[in-house]
Amino acid sequence: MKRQTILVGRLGTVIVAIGLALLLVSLIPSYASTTFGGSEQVPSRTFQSLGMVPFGNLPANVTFYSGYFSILTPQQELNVKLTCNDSVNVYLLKKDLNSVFQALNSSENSHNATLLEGYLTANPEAIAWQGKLTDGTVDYTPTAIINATLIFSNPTQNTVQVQYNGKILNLLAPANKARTLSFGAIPIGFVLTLPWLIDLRRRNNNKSSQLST
Amino acid sequence: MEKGKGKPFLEVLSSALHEDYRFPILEIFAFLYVLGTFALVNIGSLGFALGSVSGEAVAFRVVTSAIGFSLFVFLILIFKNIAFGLGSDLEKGIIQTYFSYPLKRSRILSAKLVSAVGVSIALFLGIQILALFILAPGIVLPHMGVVLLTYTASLSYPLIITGVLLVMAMIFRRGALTLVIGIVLYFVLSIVSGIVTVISLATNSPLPLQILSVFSPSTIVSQYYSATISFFSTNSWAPTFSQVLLSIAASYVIAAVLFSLGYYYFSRRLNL
Repeated sequence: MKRQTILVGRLGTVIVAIGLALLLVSLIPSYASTTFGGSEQVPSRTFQSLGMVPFGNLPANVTFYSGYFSILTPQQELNVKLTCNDSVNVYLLKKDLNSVFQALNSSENSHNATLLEGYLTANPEAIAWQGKLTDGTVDYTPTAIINATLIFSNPTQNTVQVQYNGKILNLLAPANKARTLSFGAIPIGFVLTLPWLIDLRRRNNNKSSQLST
Repeated sequence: MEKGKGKPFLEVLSSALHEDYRFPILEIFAFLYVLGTFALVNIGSLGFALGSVSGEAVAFRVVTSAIGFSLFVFLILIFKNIAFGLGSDLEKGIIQTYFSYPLKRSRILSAKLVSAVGVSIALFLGIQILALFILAPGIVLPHMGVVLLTYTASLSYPLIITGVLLVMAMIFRRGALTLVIGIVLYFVLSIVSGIVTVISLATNSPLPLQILSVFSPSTIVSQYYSATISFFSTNSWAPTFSQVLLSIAASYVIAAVLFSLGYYYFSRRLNL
């Protein structure tokens, strides 16, 4: 058997093994470490952050205290389902709310949406996720450890009521990424292995035919 | 490389690879590396919440968290290939057959080491870096220097153990015996390292940890980055970056001396 065929074949089997391990990792279920729910009123031309409850006075059902600080790691996924009576701009920022107010040169009582939108246009790196939603889901896994703050900005003339239900899921690894990689790696590994397997089969057949004669 | 000398080297390397990684050993270890890395890595948020932790310290903690189990798997592979593999090859006379090749003894040993250690390190590092890029690219990419430093420091202790195993395999020329002594030695060294750390904490003196860092520089690297997280700092020792580099260099010098001893023994003293 050619040395290159064996080398490439074994490289293929290793890639298949890595792919299978990644697939297994992606199939290990995540579990919710934190759940939260409630509703927010977002008056016209203002923004509100989710869970504006002073730290230490958290009601039992509100445990996502992003209003002050909330840390998300790459092994966590934030999943928030939103239902609004009108569309709002939803931002997940990589900053805690105090830093946002400091950056806006604004007090905690002034929630000026125009100021916020201006700041975010000038500093797009502060945005981890953004979308204009009426009904929808915010689904985000960070690639680094971040201070996460979920903000609803209402640039319209009407007050918008936002209902939210969310959870923070703990995962071993970002399942989508691991699954995508495994779906790529397994076929590539198999293709690399194929010539080696064919050669092995041919040799086994030759051996058995020699034994029978 | 002179013309014609590469082929016998490749023959020996190919034979060594075949011996060290019979199907499906390499595949099982690759599977274990991936699964172990993801299953046991824990990017805890504790301490990061205070906002006082540097990006470098975070990167260090993520990398050490990923290394833990994989380094143990890596050591198992080294024990299998060097202590048991090389020891058995000497015991069964397989090494003597390699001497029929038109190659210097040192090159035969190089081929064995490329197979036993080189491939293991390549597999270990390849899967580790892949895992880190899947898991936390935002932490790893901006701090590649910290990542490389952490891996360099973490690999020197296993390489020192490999050097000791190499010399022991040649002295005992028995695979099983070398493996048992190697395992005992590894546990004794781990216990000694634990005791040294306790002594350092009890006496509040950095000297025991400084001595330990020469053999296991991950201690000083850990101390260097822990010092930036006052909450986690265990004692008053805050090493400088040049001390970290010096410890890593010293540990690689020890590993190089042990490997050179192995080469010397294999080339000159091994009466086969």
